[in-house]
Amino acid sequence: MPFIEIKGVSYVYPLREGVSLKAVKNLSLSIEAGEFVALTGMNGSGKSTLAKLLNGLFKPTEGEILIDGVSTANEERIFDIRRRVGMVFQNPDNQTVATLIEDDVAFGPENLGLPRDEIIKRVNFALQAVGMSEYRKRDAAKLSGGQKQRVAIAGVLAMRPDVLILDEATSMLDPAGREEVMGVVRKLVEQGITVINITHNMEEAALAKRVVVLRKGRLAIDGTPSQVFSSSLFESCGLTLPPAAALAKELKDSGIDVGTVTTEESFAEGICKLLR
Amino acid sequence: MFKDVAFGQYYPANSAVHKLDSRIKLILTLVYIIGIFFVKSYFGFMLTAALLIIIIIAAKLPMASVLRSVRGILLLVVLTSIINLFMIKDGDVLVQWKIFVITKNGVHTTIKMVLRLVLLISGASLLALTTTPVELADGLESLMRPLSLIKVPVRDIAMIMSIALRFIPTLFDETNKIVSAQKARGASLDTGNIFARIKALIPVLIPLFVSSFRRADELAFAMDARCYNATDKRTKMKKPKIKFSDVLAAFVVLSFFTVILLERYYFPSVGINIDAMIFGGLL
Repeated sequence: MPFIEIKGVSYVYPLREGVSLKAVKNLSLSIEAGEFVALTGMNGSGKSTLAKLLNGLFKPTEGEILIDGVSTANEERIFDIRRRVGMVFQNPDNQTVATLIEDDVAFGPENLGLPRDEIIKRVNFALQAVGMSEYRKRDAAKLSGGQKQRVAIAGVLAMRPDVLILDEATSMLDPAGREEVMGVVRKLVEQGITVINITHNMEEAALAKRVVVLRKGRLAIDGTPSQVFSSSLFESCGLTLPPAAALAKELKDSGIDVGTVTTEESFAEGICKLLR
Repeated sequence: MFKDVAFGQYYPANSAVHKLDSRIKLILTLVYIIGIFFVKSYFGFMLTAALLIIIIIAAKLPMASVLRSVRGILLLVVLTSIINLFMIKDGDVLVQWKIFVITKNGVHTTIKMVLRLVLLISGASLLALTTTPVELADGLESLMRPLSLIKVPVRDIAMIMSIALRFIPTLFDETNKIVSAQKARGASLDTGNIFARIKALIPVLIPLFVSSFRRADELAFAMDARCYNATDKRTKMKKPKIKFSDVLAAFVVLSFFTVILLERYYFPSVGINIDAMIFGGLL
C-alpha cells in the first residue's frame, strides 16, 4: 500500500455567500514511502491547496486522503498525521514562532508534550541535520533567508516526520539560499524521508525523481523529469523548461542530439558523450 | 535600519544580575517597590539608594542608562513637587508671599516624594535593563501559572506575548518598506503640520494592517501544522532552575525590606536620630 493515497479528491474554497472556488478537482495520486516528488504547475493550479490537504490543514470536500492508511478527515488522529507529514511554508518570517532559534525548533516537540530530555535530544539532532547547530542561541530575525528556511526544516524534523512537504519554500530565497536548502533536502531524501517539493522552479523540479504537474486543479502530467519535460502537454501547463533542458532541445532541433537532459549535470554528460 | 535597535531598554552585559532567574527578579522588584512606600526617614532613603547602587554596580550597568529612565518622569516629578510644595500648609512657615506659603513640612514631604519617585523608577528600570523581553514574558507566564486553576488561559496568553515580541522586528522592517514604497510614489510623510503628518500615516498604516492579518493567517497555519494544541500538557524545553545567586539576591532584597519595616514600625527613633545626626539643624 502506498504511503500517501489521494483518492478522487476535490476541494472547494467557500469565498463568500454563493461564491466558491474549486481549487482541486477529482485528483487521484499515490506516493510511496521514500519518494522524492516535485509538485509543480502555474499559479492557481492547486499545488498549495493540495499541500494543505495532505496534512489535514484542509479537509477534502469530496474524496479521501490516506496517510499510511489513516484518513486526514479522522479528527482523532489529526495531530498524528500532522506530526508525520511536516510542512515548511513559503515565507520564513511567518512560520517562526520563537525569537531564539533553538526555542523555535523546540516548538513542535513541546506541542507534542514530549519529556524535556527527549525535546533536547531532538532539537540537537534536528539542528545538526540542517547544519545550524552553532546558531542555536541566535536571534531568528537576524538570519539569512536560506538559514531561516533551514531552521524551519529543523522545526519539522524535530517532530520525526515521515514526509516533508516544502510549499514553495525556496521561492523567496536568493540562488545561494536555494542551494543551501536544496542541499539539506537532498541529504534528507538519502536518509529515506519522503519529500514533496512544491515549486515553480523547473531546475529544482528536475532534481526530484518524479515530477507531478497540476493544471487547473487536475493532474496533467506525472512521470520522471525527462518524461515530463518532453511531454507534449508540458507547455500547455504554463511551464517553461529549465535552461539546460531548453538548450538541449534547441541543439536537438538544429541536429545535435545530446540525449535526455534535465539538469546541468545530465547536459554535461550528454556533451561529453558526443565529444568522445 | 530598525533591525539592530534593541527592543525595550535591555542593556546587554555579562553580569550576575543579568543571569538571575526572571521570576525572582520580577518578585524582588515588586518587593523593592512596596518597600519604598514604607520608607519614612532620610536614613531609609539612604539605605534604599545604597541597595540600588550596589545592584547597578553588580549588574555592570552605566549610571547613565539608569538616569535615562528617570529623565522620562522628570516632568511628573517637577509638577508634583510644585503642587506638594505649595499645597502643604501645616508646620512651621518658611516663606510666605501673598497666597503662596512654603512650610518646613512641605519641603520635607516634597524632597521625600522626589526621592521616592526617583528610587522607584530607577529600581523598576533595573528589571527592564537586565532582563530580555522574552525572559520577562517567560517569567510572567511562570508566575501566572496558578491562575490557570481559575480557568485563565495562561498558556495562550504566554504564547501571545512571546509571538508579539517575536514579530516586533519583523513589523518594524515591514513599516520601513511601506514607508519607502509610499515615498517612491511621492508621499511626503515628514512635512506639513501635525494634522497633515497624521493624515500622511494612513497610507502606511493600512497596508501594515493588511499585511499583519495575512501574516497572522499564515502563522496560524504554520502553528497548526506543527501540532499546536495537540495536547493540554504542552511541555517546555527550558526549565528554569533556582541558583544560589537567586537565593542570595532574594536574601539581600528581603533583608532590605525587613530593615525598612523594622525601622518604620518598631524603631522609628533610629531613623529620626540618624537623620538629626546627619542633617542637624537643617531639619
